[in-house]
Amino acid sequence: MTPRSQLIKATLRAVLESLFLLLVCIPAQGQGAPTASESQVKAAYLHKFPGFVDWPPGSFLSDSSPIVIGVTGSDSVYQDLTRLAEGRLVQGRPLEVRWVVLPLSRPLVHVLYIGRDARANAGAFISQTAGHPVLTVTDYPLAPPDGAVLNLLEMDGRIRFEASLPAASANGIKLSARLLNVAARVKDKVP
Amino acid sequence: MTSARSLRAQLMRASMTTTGVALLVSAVAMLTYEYFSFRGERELDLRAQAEMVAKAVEPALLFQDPKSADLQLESLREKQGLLLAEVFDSRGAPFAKYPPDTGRISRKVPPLYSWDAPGSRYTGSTLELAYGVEHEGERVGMVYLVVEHDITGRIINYATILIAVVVGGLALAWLVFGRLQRVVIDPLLTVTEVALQVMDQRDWSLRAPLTSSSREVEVLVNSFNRMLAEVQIAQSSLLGADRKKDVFLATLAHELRNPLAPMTMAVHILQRANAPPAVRQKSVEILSRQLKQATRLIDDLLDVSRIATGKLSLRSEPVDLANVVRLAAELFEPIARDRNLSLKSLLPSEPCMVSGDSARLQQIFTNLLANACRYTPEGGRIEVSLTHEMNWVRVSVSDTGIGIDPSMQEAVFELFEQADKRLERGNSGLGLGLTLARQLVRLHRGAITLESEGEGRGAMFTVSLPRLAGSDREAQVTQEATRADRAAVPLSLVVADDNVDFALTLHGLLTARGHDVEVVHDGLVALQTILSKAPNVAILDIGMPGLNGYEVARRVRQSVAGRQLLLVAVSGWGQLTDKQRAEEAGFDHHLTKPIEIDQLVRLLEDQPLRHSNSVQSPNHQ
Repeated sequence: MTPRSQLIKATLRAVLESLFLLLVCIPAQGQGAPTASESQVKAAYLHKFPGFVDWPPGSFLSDSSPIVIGVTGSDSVYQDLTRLAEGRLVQGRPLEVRWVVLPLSRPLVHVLYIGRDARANAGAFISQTAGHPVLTVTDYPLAPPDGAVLNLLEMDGRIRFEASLPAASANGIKLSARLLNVAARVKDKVP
Repeated sequence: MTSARSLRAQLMRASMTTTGVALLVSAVAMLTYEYFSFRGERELDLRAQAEMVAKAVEPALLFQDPKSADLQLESLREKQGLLLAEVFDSRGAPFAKYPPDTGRISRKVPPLYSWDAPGSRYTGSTLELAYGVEHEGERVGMVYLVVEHDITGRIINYATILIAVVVGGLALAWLVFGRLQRVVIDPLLTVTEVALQVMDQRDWSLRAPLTSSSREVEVLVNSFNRMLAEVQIAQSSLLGADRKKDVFLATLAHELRNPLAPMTMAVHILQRANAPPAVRQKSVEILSRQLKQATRLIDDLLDVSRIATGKLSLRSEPVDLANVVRLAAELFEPIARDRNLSLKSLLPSEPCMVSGDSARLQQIFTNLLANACRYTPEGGRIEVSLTHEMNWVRVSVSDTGIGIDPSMQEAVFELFEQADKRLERGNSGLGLGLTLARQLVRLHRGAITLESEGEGRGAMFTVSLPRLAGSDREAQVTQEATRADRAAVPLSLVVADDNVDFALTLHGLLTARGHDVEVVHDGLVALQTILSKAPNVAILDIGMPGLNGYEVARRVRQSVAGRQLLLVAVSGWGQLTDKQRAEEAGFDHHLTKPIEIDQLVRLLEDQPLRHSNSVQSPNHQ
């Protein structure tokens, strides 16, 4: 065999093998969308949460006032959420996504997501929203800061969340029992 | 009874079949309805369930908590018949399941349902349902439930019940109908029984009782009874007629025999050579008289029988009834005188026309007068009168004789009936006189009535005949074809005259009298027509173009056909020489113009017909 043909053969084999590996490795998917990325899932959660939350009266100007979701600490989540929120309605209200920074401006957002990149300021964010009707959602699986109403975490390879009833009641918002049913953990006592 | 039983069986069969079909149809309908409504129910039920499950597992799907979904599904464990409950996520992958291990491999969204169109499906024993889980208008997953359905069992149960109901219903119908049909059948059975009895015993006095209220059966029973009644009447009148016939034969034999004794004696006397001429003469008279009597008797009998069988023919011509009655009355004057009866006639002097046979009409009144004379004792009175109204002529013959009891007044006209057998000695002792009289009156389209107050109070017979309209001689002015204006026998004529007006007038007159007239205006044509048409009569003008009348006559007489017909010459020339020439040429008659219609008509119609093609008058005898 000439060196050239040897090279060609080797290249061919490599291509075939990688193809094979690719084919084998592609997980069998059902119909529907391709696997969502983590940030997409989180963004999805963020726009689904409001459907299970009751804000106190006066939180919205009118029945068609948008639900304002503030995002900080994650660009990807911000982007994904912005995309997702387009044209969607939650309980008849449109969604408005904002990037927020400290200090928080008034009027306050309805939902505040504090991503991983904003860990350092998480406490400040929380204290600025404490006592106000804001659904705070943190993304610190290992050590949720006190005062966050919801905290995203991971369980069995899936993204889940835990809920804090005291934090919710402190903020004056009510979490639906159906939501609590699917929470991985529910804190109902002040530690 | 066998036919009635099978009628009952037929009715029962019909009613059972009807009831059975009705019950079956309703049972099948109900079963079908039940089946479909069961299915619908089950499906709705399951759908409601699925909706609840979908709502319950929605958060679990949204927030990726399959365990929570499992828990929710587990709450379905109490549901009767649940085989499988599954939840699939937005990509169609299995998400949660109850019961956890059924040995069934959980597919992704069941291939039967597309992701976009969930629905339900029945199999033999299960019902599957797929229901979409939605959140804010977006499909986030699917609930799939499989339950066992018990429809088959339910339907079988229901069917069993229905079968029992059908059978029960039929049995009940059988019982009820058995009772009800008696209402209809029993009257029919009764009639059948009576019918059998009647035929068996030939007892026509039996009647079927009327027990039914149904219209048709009532009609049947009534008709049946009426028929029996009629048979009864027919039978009794047959027996009566039979008896009368026997009496008649006896009387007939007796009456025919009557003349025989004197006739025998007379012959005896005549046979003896030594009988004196006076005695011989007397014997001849006796013979002649008795013969006449017997002949009259037989003639009357023949008349009655001929009328009865429709073989008597009457002439139909205008007859002066007043004259006929007068003649009849005259015949009886001597007889009345002999018996010391007064006979009066009240008849009008002017004629009174009817249409009929004068001889037969006379016979009617002769019979009536004979009866009057016979049944009126000495010193009594007989009166004959004639009156005419607008449409009728009425002749009455009344007497002060023994009268006729009202109960007998219809019977006296019957054959062989005689009111009083005491006076049967005499002419026509068979009681035929009135029968014949009525038959003859009826043949003349008239009527005869009898009035008598009873025994000893006399009797009046009135004959009414339809009057012949416009026939009194002075009233004849119109040309319309009334009965009197028509000739008794229509003739076939040829009229030849070059004077068109004259020919047409003649044509009109003769056609009005019912004759068939052909008109020609030329001698040659006349000859041809006569030879081809062969009429009864030819009326020829002398001075015609082509061939003159004499020549036509001569040639007609030379032909075989022409020898018989009546030839009448008409011409303006009326001298004796003209008449002679006509006679020589072969004419039967010569008339001078202007001709008298009456004369011509008389000429035509009083002649016996001389052509073989003519219509024959009805024969007498």
